[in-house]
Amino acid sequence: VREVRLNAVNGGRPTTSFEDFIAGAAVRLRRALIARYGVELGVEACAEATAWAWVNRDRLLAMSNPVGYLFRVGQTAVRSQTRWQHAPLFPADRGSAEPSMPDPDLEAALAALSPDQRVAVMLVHAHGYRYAEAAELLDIPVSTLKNHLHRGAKRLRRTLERRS
Amino acid sequence: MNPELEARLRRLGARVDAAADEAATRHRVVPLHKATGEQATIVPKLEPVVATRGRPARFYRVLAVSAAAAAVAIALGVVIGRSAEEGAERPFASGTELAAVATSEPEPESTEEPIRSPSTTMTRPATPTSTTPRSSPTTTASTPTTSSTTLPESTDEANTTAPRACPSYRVNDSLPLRLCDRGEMVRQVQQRLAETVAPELLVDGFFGPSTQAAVLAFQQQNPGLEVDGLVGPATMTALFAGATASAEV
Repeated sequence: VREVRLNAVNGGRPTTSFEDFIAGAAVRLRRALIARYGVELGVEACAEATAWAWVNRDRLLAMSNPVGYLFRVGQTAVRSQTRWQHAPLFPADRGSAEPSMPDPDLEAALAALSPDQRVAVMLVHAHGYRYAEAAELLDIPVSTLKNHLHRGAKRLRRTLERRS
Repeated sequence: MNPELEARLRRLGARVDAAADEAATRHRVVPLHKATGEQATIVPKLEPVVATRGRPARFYRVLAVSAAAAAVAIALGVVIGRSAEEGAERPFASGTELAAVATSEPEPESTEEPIRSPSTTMTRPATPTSTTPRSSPTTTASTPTTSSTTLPESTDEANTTAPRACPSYRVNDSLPLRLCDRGEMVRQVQQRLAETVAPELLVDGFFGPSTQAAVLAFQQQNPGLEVDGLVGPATMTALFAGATASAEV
């Protein structure tokens, strides 16, 4: 009986679809938010975005790009949380905590990038998303993503060459 | 992007994923039976961030203990001073007045009442005093004429050392929300619970015992839900399905 009622509420959609959507979106969201804010804050921001998704799922399902909107929600959550704190750098806060990090040069170079460039480089080159996927996740055009990637990769290469 | 750098970035991506999983489990998996009874054994690395937002339970406990100590010290000084002044003149008056107090209050075993200590009745016998409930135990020991058999020893455990349900609250983003979780998701669930089953529930984002009671009540009201006090996908869907249904009506 409950299933039927939920299906009616959901507009005939099976009830598992939203859970599947959230589960799939959370993985991508977490990667993007971590690339932007670091592990600890990224995990928290992903939690807040997921909670927002559960509450506003009717709005979300009507959107053309729900994952991109959730990425914004996560960013807003981090901003409201860290307004009066020092924003932690991407890898620097983890480098001290985990001594077994084998590639400190790369992490420092990534931390020197701008947040947009870092997210683009991490999503495309470290996690292997296609351009279209990453652009949808960040809710930006593909050409903007390519700009971020190009400049980010150039800066990354220069920083690494200077260090070595 | 040369392949060597690409490979380095790939390895970094895998490490970041692993670190994220580790961080998520660190927040999520708390042995509940341990967390309720004694101090939580896992100290998360997120503590600086958590501390700015979480409940400073230990701070309140320390504050209560220190306030109790200060009150006891002040009362002790007052009692010693008064008894030094009046003790020679009316040595047995306090005993009789205490007897009067004991007869007027038939239940000296209750936690709050016997705290109306003999020192205050000795100085101001007419007014029912409204002193803080923490000042009793040492004053009973310091006044020599009191018949201390009618007074229980100490009632401070109820105020200071009562075990809180959760020594710490942890961020949780995955769906089995449970006792001692906190976060935006918990807050939204509390809001829905306050709208449906528990109108007096405090919506603060902390999954405490009252929230758990509300969840249990909601699960009992909705047949088909397992009554376990956890907010899983089924309970979550039922909660917010009710929200959309009521919004449509």
